Amino acid sequence: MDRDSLEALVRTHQVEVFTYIHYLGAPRDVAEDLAQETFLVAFRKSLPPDVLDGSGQRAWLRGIARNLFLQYCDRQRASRVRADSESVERAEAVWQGQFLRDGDGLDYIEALRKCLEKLSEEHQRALDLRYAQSKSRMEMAFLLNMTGDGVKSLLRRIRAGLGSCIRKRLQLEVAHE
Amino acid sequence: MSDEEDRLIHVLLERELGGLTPPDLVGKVAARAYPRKGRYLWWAASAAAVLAVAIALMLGLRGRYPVPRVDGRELGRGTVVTTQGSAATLTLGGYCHVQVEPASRLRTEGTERAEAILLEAGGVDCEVDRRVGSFAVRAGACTVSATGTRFTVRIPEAAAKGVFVSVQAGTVLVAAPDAEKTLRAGQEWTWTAASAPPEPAFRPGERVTITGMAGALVADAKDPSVANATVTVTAADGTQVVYDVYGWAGVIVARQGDGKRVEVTGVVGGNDGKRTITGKSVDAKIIIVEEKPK
Repeated sequence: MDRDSLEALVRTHQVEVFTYIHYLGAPRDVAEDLAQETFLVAFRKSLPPDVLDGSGQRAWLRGIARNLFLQYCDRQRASRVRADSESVERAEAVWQGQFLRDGDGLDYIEALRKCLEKLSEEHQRALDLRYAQSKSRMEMAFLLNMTGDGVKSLLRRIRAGLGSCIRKRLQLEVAHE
Repeated sequence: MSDEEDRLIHVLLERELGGLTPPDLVGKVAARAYPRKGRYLWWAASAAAVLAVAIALMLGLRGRYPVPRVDGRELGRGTVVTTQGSAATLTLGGYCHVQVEPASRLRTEGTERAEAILLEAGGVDCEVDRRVGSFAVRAGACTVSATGTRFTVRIPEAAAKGVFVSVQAGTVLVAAPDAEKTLRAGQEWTWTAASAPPEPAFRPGERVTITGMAGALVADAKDPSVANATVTVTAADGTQVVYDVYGWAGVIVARQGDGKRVEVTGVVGGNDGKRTITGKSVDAKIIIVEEKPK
């Protein structure tokens, strides 16, 4: 693979590869390292002839990323990051079956945006504190007058509601097509 | 909902709401795949240059200790820094970089290579170079000490007597009246004490400079340590005005509209023998050190 081809491959897939590794459970700094490694492995192996199309390349890169992530978890037994091949495969199934859905995931993100608009003010504030302001759980507990576990449950409930809304919206859109 | 779906939405929310954009890896990957010739020679030359600069700094600049600065402007020690709608960057000794959150108030303290701040409201994100000196944040009744780390100290709005500490890198020691705790990277701790005594606004011998803030509080009436106090103000021409601060309503304010820069020296203590900081009554002296021409 020449330099231009490698740069094009990285440019095309870096967002998904990085996000995917972070989604598997790697902290952001680790995800960045592993994403780099993923492309270097791809560079050394060169693309197999049967994965030349976009979705094939994505699946191939995700496979490399999963292997690297599992190797990282093996090396970091003392860390909080835990993963085994089964859990990683389950994660891949959700990524492929719910997020990508034979596409590039943009319809999922669009559905998420629409569902966010429909949240109550209370839930929007909780998400704003957690994600926009990067408040920790303990800090949110102070601000929302809740316990740390209560905040954890609240965020999980909100995400579950968003998941349900997204599924509903995507199925509706499929029905209209 | 499965854990995997929950994690998926969590990661997407980080991007959508948190603005966390994935890093650009093109250059990094290409550089590793195609290392440049002469790279090691370049590294050696760079290392030599860095070493030379370090030696020059050690030999030539020793003794030139950086003055405190907020957003690039020089400050005196003891200055009160108040942020309103936007954040500010405070640099102490050139090695403590403090991001002051909006709606925060703090006072610079400490000495050379032992920098410190008193956080009175809001929060700060701190990054300290341990090779130069130590750094401490006093917040409420807690003192957070660091010798090289990145950490956050915040006084949550909903808990006036609480102190929140979060460590992003390195280690800090949090000393509270009833506990002492070492926090490492990734750890956080909130200290609360319902019966914690209020932290005095002023300490004996402390020197505080308050610069042109509209309505900057010199003495906060909510602070029991300044209630029922007598405060003597000395103007530039030597005339003195005595202020009595009664109960919880008394507030002395340096107004920007007065066109004055006010320096407070000494201690504001209760004069009723009950609400003193040090166990004895001490008059405070407020000296007007600068007055704009009328």
